[in-house]
Amino acid sequence: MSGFSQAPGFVCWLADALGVEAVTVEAASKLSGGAIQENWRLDVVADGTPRALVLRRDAAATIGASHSRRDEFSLFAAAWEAGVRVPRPLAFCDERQAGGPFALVEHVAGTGYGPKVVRDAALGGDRAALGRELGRQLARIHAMDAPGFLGARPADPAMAEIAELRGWLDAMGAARPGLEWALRTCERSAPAPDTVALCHRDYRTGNFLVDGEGLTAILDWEFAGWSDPMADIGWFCAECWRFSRPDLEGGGVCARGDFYAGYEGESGRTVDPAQVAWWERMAHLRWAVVALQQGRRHASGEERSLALALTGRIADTLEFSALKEARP
Amino acid sequence: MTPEGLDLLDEAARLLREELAPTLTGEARYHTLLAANAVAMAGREAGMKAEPDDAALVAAIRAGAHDGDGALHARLLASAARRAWVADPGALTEAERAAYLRDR
Repeated sequence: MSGFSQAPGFVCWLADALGVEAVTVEAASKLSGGAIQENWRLDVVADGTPRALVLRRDAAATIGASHSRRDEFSLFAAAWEAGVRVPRPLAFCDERQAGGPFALVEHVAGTGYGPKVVRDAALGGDRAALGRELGRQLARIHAMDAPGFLGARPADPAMAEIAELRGWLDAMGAARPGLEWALRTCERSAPAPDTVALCHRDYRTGNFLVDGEGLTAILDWEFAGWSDPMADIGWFCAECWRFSRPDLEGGGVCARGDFYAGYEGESGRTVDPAQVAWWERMAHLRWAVVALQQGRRHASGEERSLALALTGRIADTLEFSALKEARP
Repeated sequence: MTPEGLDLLDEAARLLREELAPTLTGEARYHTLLAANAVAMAGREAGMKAEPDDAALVAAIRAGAHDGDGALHARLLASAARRAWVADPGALTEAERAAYLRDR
């Protein structure tokens, strides 16, 4: 599996990409996580200097809304420019002979696994400060210049979100009247269109890295696109991403108020709790539909995996709690 | 499935979770717990009535034909409660189990 990293075409490309005369790949190891991408850590020696890099490429099967690796790389570059804490983007390769397409970024140390980040108090530094920093980072994302591939801004992000989830259900051929009821209830109470900005759309605990001091990187940009900034805030705060600390409403790591304070201070925008509450309900429905998609990857034979099959069943518990909140 | 068949699944799940998993670490332990969960889930599902897909109902809900339909909501909630219990018995309170699982 790691054979690509020793192929002459790849090593040649890597020397060019790093702007060095000579490079050797000392080690290549597949990093955990990433249902959609494969992430490889490469330890290289470039003109005598050891460097740690990460190579990201597509996994065997991919899900509906994920961007191509090239688009994701241009988004990374835009985020880096805007002062968002992302691993430094180095180069993109779409040539087949070097094992492309893949993106190459600087390796950033840190822990990302959501349940561990929530549980392990030795991580992330002061949690209130971490919450404020996560809020500030999100505000910077919402102020980014969006790369061209995102296309036209939706006039009404709330309705676009509902239409997207219905489209995903239809594409799976999944008749789920319970989820449909909850979606219809959200449709009838949707907030009026307000700001539309570049949103991360998977900004949550589990998708950023922390070390003992605090935040080191915001990851998992593959779903980024136009939406209401409140959608990202609702996704971050939704109970499904608080893991073992449902009482800490800021992603299981901080009080909701810390996260809001960082966001409001950096963006100058006021967070409307009612709008966030609506997006939190939508977050659970989105996660339910994505869970169904993951279950289908197993059931369709695209990628046989017991973990994916069991993830699909999470849709049933999410549907039950959504229906309890959507009484007529 | 016969009660004896359900008992086989229950016992297999218990063996994986209580006897095997504690002797393991890392990936092996994780996969054993996943397998235990899957076997237990299949056992709960085997005792359930199958529910047919209803594409026409989906279209009607989207069109707003069931807005405010309390009877439909109650039926959908009961169905979701049974499936939620199959996926994770802890997702239901005692009162919810009493209300939704009597007639499974």
